[in-house]
Amino acid sequence: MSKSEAAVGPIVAPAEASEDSLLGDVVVRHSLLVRVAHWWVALFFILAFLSGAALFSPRYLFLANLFGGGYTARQLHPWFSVLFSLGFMPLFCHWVGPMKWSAADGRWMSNFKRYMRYEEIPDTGKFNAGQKLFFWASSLGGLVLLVTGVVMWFPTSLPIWLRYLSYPLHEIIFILFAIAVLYHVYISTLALGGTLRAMTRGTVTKSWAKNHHPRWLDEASRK
Amino acid sequence: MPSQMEIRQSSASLAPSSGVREAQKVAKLIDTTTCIGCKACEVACQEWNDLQSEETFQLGTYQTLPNLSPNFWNLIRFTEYEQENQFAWLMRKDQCMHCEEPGCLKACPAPGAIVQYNNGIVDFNQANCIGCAYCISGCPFDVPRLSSKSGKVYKCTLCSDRVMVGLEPACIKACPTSALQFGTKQNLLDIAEKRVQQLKAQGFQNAALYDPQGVGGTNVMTVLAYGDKPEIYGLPKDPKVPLYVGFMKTVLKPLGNVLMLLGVIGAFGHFMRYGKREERGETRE
Repeated sequence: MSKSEAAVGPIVAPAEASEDSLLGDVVVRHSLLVRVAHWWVALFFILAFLSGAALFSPRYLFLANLFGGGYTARQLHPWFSVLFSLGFMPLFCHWVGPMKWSAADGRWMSNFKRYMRYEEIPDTGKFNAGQKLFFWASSLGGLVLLVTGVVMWFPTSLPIWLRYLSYPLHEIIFILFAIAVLYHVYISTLALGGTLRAMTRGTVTKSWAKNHHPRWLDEASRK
Repeated sequence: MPSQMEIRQSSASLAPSSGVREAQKVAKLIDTTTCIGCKACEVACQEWNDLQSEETFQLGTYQTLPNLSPNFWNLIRFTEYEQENQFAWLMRKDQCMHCEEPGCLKACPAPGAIVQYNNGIVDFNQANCIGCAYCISGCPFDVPRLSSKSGKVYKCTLCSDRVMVGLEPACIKACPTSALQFGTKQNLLDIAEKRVQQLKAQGFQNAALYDPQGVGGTNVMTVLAYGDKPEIYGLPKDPKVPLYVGFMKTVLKPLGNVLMLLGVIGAFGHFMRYGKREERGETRE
């Protein structure tokens, strides 16, 4: 174990290591703060998702038991989303620049099927088009969930048409968000080997970077 | 549950609740034209249901409180109506209408928190209420009230505890002019029809019974002298369960379940077909 680790660099990227730089045989992908924020967001997404699913359909009401029953699930749910949003903000600010859409992303999208068949797609920067889509969709979706959620949190103090709009909208985004996160998790853990460590150790191997984000590796190498 | 109060519909229930027993629909008839605004029904309601009395204040009208509240389920609303040389003091009993198709029950995500009995009474069961307040938006009459004390929702029970042992609701018992009557729905429909005819003969050409069909009819019905204008009494002209309630229940939730299931199947299928992509070019022992 330790021998092979030595070949791919330090176990965890040092806190002071700057993103997108080479560190021996590995590339620093996410700074410590980004990783902490990501797992903060992940934790409160899961909590908000499970407590919300309990209210989505009586089929999932058993999930409310995780929170001490329906009443407490309902009481905690909005607070989970407040904490989720607090963690999301620094992530959004950090990534809004690199997540800007470019012409290369359009080409990546037309090669999406090939990527899912595990063929390589050249000219991919730090984030591919799929990741950018997930970023923008979850930012927008999160905002809609937050706004409609506040309406549902304080229904009696807001106009009725706003409520009529918020309930179904909250549920539509819930469904889409659940599916998006399912694929986000699937792709980064089960499907694409060597990806998860970007969010745990903060680093990826050069070969992974070359396979998935060749242009990003070139840029990091030139630094 | 008492034998004569079998549950016909229960909120967020996956199983059909209705059994083999049948019960006659019970109803309350409110005749706004014989109400003298004495508020005896308000007091009887507070007393029977052990509700603390709210502090009243001078509203400048013959109305006790500005609105219904978690511990005030029965309000005689007062309006001064003036039009075409006609002037009237309108008294209208504001309370849960006990709809045949209750929007509150349809919107409720907590199993058994809102039930509709075989006899038509719609009741909140606070033990099962999770305090989400969905019922408040689902109600076309703006009746349920969320208590800040308990975090749960309250409204008129049509004195289900009295009705189940063969008594009439407390407000009925207190009414001195028989402006309030209790009985089977069919019986009261006949009485209301006669009263409407009487009113028409007395010059109220537009007198009508308020039993809105948009919610399948209500088990609390109101005789209105100006039946063509229920809005002047504070009643919606054509109340319906808000569209989004049905949309969420019959479209969004099943569709969401199918989509989420398809998502899981899709990811599973992809994994079975392509497996895990290992890092290429990496040295592994």
